Amino acid sequence: MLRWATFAWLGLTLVFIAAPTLIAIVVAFSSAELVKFPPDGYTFKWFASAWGKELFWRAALVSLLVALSAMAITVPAGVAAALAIRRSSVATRRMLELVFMSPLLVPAIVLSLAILVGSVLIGATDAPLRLWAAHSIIVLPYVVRTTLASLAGMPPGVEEAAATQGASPWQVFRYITLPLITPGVLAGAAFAFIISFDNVSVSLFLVNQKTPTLPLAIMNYVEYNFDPSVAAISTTMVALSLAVAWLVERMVGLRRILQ
Amino acid sequence: MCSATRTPRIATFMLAMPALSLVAGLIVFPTVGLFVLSLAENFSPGDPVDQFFAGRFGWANYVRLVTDEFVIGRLLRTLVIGAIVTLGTFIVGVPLAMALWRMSGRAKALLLAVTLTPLLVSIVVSAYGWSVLLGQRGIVNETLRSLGLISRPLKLMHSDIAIIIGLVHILLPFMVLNLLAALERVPRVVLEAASTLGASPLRVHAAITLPLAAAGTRSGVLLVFSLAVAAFVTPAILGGNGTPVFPMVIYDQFSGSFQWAYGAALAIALLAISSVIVALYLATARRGTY
Amino acid sequence: MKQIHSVNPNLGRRGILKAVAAVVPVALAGFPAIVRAQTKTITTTGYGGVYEKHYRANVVEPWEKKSGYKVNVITTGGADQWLANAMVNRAKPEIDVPFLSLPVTHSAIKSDGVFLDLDEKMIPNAKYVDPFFFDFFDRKAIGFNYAPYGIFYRTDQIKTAPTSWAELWKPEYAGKILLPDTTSGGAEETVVIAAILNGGSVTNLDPGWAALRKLKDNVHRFFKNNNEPVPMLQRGEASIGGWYSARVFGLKDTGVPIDFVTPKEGAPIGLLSFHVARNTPNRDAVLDFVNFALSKEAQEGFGNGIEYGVCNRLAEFKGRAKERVPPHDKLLRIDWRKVEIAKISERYRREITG
Repeated sequence: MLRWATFAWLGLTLVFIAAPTLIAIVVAFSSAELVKFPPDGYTFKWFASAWGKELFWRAALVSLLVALSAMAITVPAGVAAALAIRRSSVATRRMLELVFMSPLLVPAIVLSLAILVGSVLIGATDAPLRLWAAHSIIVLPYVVRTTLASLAGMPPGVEEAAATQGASPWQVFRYITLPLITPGVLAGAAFAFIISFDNVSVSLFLVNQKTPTLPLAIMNYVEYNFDPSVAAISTTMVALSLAVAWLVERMVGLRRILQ
Repeated sequence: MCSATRTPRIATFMLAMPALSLVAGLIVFPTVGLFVLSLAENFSPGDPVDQFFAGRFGWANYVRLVTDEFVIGRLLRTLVIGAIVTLGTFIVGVPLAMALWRMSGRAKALLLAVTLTPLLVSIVVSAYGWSVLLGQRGIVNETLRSLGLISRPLKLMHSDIAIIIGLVHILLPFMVLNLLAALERVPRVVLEAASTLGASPLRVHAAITLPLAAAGTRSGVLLVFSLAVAAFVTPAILGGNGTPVFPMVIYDQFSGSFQWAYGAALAIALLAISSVIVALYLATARRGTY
Repeated sequence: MKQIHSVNPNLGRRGILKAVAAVVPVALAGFPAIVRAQTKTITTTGYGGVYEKHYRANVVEPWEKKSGYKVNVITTGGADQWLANAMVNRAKPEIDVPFLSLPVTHSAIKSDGVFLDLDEKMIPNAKYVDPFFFDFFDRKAIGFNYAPYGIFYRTDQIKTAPTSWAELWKPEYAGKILLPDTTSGGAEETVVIAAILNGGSVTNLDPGWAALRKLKDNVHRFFKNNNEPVPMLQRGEASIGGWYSARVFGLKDTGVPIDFVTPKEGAPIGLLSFHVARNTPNRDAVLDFVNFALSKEAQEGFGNGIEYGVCNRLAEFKGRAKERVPPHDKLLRIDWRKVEIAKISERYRREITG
C-alpha cells in the first residue's frame, strides 16, 4: 500500500518536472492559431513561421555567438584557474575556490545591473561586448568546478612519474595532464554553453534594443503574440540543450558535471 | 591529496591571473560601481560620467529604502514566497532524492536526467509551459473541470500560486542534488547494521539517515531560498499585477521609474541578503575533497 | 582511463575539438560584423498589433522603397524603456528616432541634450501639421497621430451602452474590468478621470487615488501592453474597461461583440510623437522619414486604415473612418505640464496595481 502510494507520488513528481517542457513541445506541433490543449491537429508550420522571422534567427545567432565567445575566454581561463587551485596551499585553495564561485553567489539581476553600470562608467557601451563579458563570467564557476573534479580523478603520481622521467612542467601538462582532464573540461564547456545559451536574467539589462538573445526574444514576443511560434522556438532550444547534453554523456558521462 | 611537482609560486599566480582578472573586472568592479551609484543623491539617468562624479553622495537612498513601506512590504512578501517555495521543493524533493539514492545504474541515470531537465531548459521555456498549463483553458483547469471538482475555471495564472509553482519547478533540481549528495554520504553499512539489529525502516531512517543527511538538507534549503528570493524572470512571466516580488521592484526602478540610484540601493540590499544566506550555505555545504 | 576507449570513434574527442577550434575564431571574427546592423538602416520604435500593420503599410514600406533605406522598427518594450535607452545612449544613440507616447513624452521633452529641436526647415510638412501637435511639445518633437482613450464594453454582456466613466465603479462589473498598467497607455489618464469624477482635477488627484483604490479589487487585470486584452476579450473574461478606440474597433472587426464609447466626461487624447535623437548619424535620412510620415498621403492612408486621428490638417477621412475618428479638439486635453507624471506612474504602481 505504502509502495503504491510512493510510486504514485513519484510518478506525479516526474509529471510535474516534465510537464512544462512537454507542453511546449506539443503546442509547437499543434495546428490551431490560438494556444490550446489538447490540440486540434498537428503541423510543422510553426517551426517554419518562427524560424522565418528575422527577430528569432538573428537572436539565435547572437545567442550562439555569445555562448561560443564566452567559452573561448572562459575555458582556458577556467582550466588555468583550476590548475592554480590544485597547486596551492589549503588556505589559498579555499579562498580561490570562493573567488571563482562568486559569480554564482550574486543574484543574476544584481549582476546584470552591476555590469551595465560598470560598462557605462568605463564608456564601453557596446552591447555584444557587454554580453560576451557577462556570459564569460557566469560560466566560469562551471568550468573551474568540472576541471577540478577531473584533476582530482587523475591517477595520483602520474604527473610526478613523468617529471622524474625528465619532462618539463609544460610537457607534463601537455602530454599527461591535458589528455586526462579533457573529458571533464569538455563536459564543463558543454554545460557552460547550455547555461549561456539559455540565460535570461544576466542578459536582461545588457542587450541592445536591436539584437536580443534568443530567450529574451521569446520573452518579448510572448508579450504581443499568442501563436505557437514561441513553442516552436522553445522546442528547438530544448532540442539543442538535449543534444549537447547527450553529446557530453556519450563522451564523458553526465556524472562528471554533478560532482 | 595531490602531490604535484614543485611549481614556483609565480607560475601558480600566473595560472590564476586570467580568471582572477575576469572576476575582478566583471564582479568586483561592477558591484563597486553599483554601490557607488546607490550613493548618488541627485542622479538623473543619462548624466554623463563626469557630471555623475561631481554630484552629491550620501546615504539618502538607503534611508529612503528602510522607511519605504511599499518596498519593505514587497521584500517581506518575497521572503515569504521564498520560504513557501523552499518548503515546496523540500516536500517534493525528499521522496525523489530517496528514490534516487536507492537506485543504481541505468534507471538511476535516467531518473537523474529527467530530474535535471529544468536546468537544461531555459527558464523562459519552463515559464511559457506553465502559462499554458495554468491558463483559464489550460490543462489544469480543464482536468479539474472534467473531474467535476470545480465549476468555473480557477484563476491560476498571473498570481502568487503561479509564481510558487513555477519556482518550485525550476529550483527542485537544486534541492534534489543537495539532498542526494548528503544521502550518498550516509554509509550503507550503518543502515544495514541497524536493520539487521531489528529496527523498522522508519526507525532506521529517523535515527540514522535523517541526522546524517541534515547537513545536506540545510545546504539545499539555503541554496533554494537564496535563488527563490532573487528570482526575476519566473515571477515576471507568471506573476500578477504590478511588481509582486522584490527583484521586479528593482527592475521597475530602472525601466519604469527612472530612479536608478534608488534601484541600485535596492539591488545592493538584495545582494546583502543573498550574501548572508549564501554565506550560511557555504558554511554548511560539504564539498568534495580535491 | 576507461573513457578514452569507450568513446565512439566517429565522435572522437579529436574530431569535436577540431570542430570547436575551427568555429571559435570564426565566431569571434564574425561576431561584430553579424551583430551590428547593416548599412543604410535607421532605427525607430513602434507599437504592435493592428497599429503596426497600418504603420508599416502606409509609412514604413513606402518610405523604404522611396529612400532605399531599411527601417528597423522595435516594438518590444515601451515608451519609458525607449526613453531610458535614448537618455543613456545620448552620445551614440541606438534608436535614431524614438516614437514615443504620452505621458512619457513629457519626460522626453524635458531632457536636455538628448533630442533635436525641430522646425519647418528640417521638416517641411510640419507647416501642414495642426500647430497644437507641434507646440504641445515645445517643438522638441512632433505629433504623428492621436487616439481617443475611452470605454470598451462587450455588447453581449452589457445591454445598454455606458455613457460615463463613473459606470466602471458599478458593483456588478466586479472581476470583469480591464484597465491599463503604467507600461500600457492610459493609466495616468485614468487617474485624472477618476479625480475629475470626484471633484478633483489634474492638480488635485487625491480623490482620484481614493476612487481607484476602491476600484482596484474589481479589476480582472491591469494589462501591461495593448495585446494582453485581446485573448481575454476574445474569451469573454472581461466585459468593460478603458482602452484606445482603434484597438477596440480592430477587435470588433474580427467578430468579437465589443464596442467603443466616448464617455460624456470626455475621452483623453493619446498622442504619439517623433523625437529625433540629437546625435544620430543618420540625421538627414531620419528627418526625411519623419517628413514622409507627416505627408498627406501617408497620414491619410494610415488614418483611414487604422481609424485614428492624424496630425496633418490636410488629411481627409472617408466613410467609416470619418465616423470613428473624432476631431482632436473634441477630446479631453490634460495639461500634463502641471504635474510630474513619473510620480503619478510610480504611485499607480505602488497603490493601484501593487
